[in-house]
Amino acid sequence: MIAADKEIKAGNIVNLSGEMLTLRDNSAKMLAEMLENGENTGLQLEDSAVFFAAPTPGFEEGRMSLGPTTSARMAAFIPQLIEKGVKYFIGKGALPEEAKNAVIEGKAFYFQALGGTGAYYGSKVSSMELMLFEEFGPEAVYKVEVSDFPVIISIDSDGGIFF
Amino acid sequence: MRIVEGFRIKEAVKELFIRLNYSPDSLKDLVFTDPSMEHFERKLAEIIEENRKKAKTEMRPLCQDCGVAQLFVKIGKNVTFSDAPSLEILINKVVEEAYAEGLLRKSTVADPFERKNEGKNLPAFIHYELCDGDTFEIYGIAKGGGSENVSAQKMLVPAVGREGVADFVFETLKNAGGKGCPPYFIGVGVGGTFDSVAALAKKALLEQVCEDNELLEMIDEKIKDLGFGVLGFPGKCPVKAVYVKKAPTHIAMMPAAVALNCHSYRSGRVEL
Repeated sequence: MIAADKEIKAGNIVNLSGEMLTLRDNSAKMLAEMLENGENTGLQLEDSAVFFAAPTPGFEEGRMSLGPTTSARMAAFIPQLIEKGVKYFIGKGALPEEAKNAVIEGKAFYFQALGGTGAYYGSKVSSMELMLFEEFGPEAVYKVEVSDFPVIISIDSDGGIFF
Repeated sequence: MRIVEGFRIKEAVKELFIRLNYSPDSLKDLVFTDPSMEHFERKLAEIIEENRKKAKTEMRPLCQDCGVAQLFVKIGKNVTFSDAPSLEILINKVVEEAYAEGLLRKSTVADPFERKNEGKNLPAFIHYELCDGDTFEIYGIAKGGGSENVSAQKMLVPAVGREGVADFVFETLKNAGGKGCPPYFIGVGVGGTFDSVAALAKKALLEQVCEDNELLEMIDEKIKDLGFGVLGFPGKCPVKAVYVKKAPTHIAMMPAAVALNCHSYRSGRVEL
């Protein structure tokens, strides 16, 4: 679960705290296949937050960097993830029409983090756990715990939009 | 004949690629906030500046996308080097070490279809230029995927002139929007051939030069109408700097290329 320190309204900058699952090109594709086949992923997707991102090494050393990647590349998987319970998507850039509609209709949220600022966001991560697809290297799914993590609300649950 | 010891090249290139990801020369003394910015855009620019501080003081890579290593090597005809069968082997070995020891993300997949990440961030992408004398100079850039994906190349017709090139730069930026993480650093290449113009654009970015002020003025004028600012959100500052390089070309051709780089612009130069 994640929480925000201010009203989740399109156009606001809020600070998030809570857990997120990292996901991107290869891992999103593989996860979608597993879900499609009804396989057990071991992930708690109900009310979860997905962060389109892939970290650098160095978490143990306090040197990890983790910022958003372009959400549009993973947009095709958004409707299915919403169906499986994902409520928050965090990435960067606009979403294509279909994904945007899926977020609005599914009463989900889309937040944008600031691209290219991985050092800043990396410093907001207090724990990190490998969940799936270790073989994908940085593209593995990690569960990260964040606090004071600023995002721009791009789609809110009332269908408000800000890009 | 001047012999450059292989270990010196290794040390310099390794140090360069680690430094690029934490406190690159290319971002030194730059300020991202601007008096023209309103509250929202200013807040984003302040986070970008905070990011740069965190990268330097906490030794966290500026961006989690530590890029592919690209090198533009200029070698004088009187120069050779020791301790390695080839410069290619030496550079690849040292880039691998830099990405491992520097705790940098390895983002290269070995095959564009199979997309397996072998965890070495290899190969380095190297351009060689032979020149006179004793020069041995390397420009390095750690180039992320986001801004590379929105860079563009086009074969224009000569009749469109500077205006046509400026329009192409505008079009490229408009299509890029926030995807490549603006404020952008822009390298424009004009002339040469289909294959060489993209490298020329990147050289403009690396050398930070402008070889055509008239074109630069036209581009500066057009980008005022882009309609987005920092990170593609509403604002006034989508571009940080524009550089231009030109080359001779064919009577029928006017190749142009626009190399976009994100605000985490990581380039630098070493001379040996």
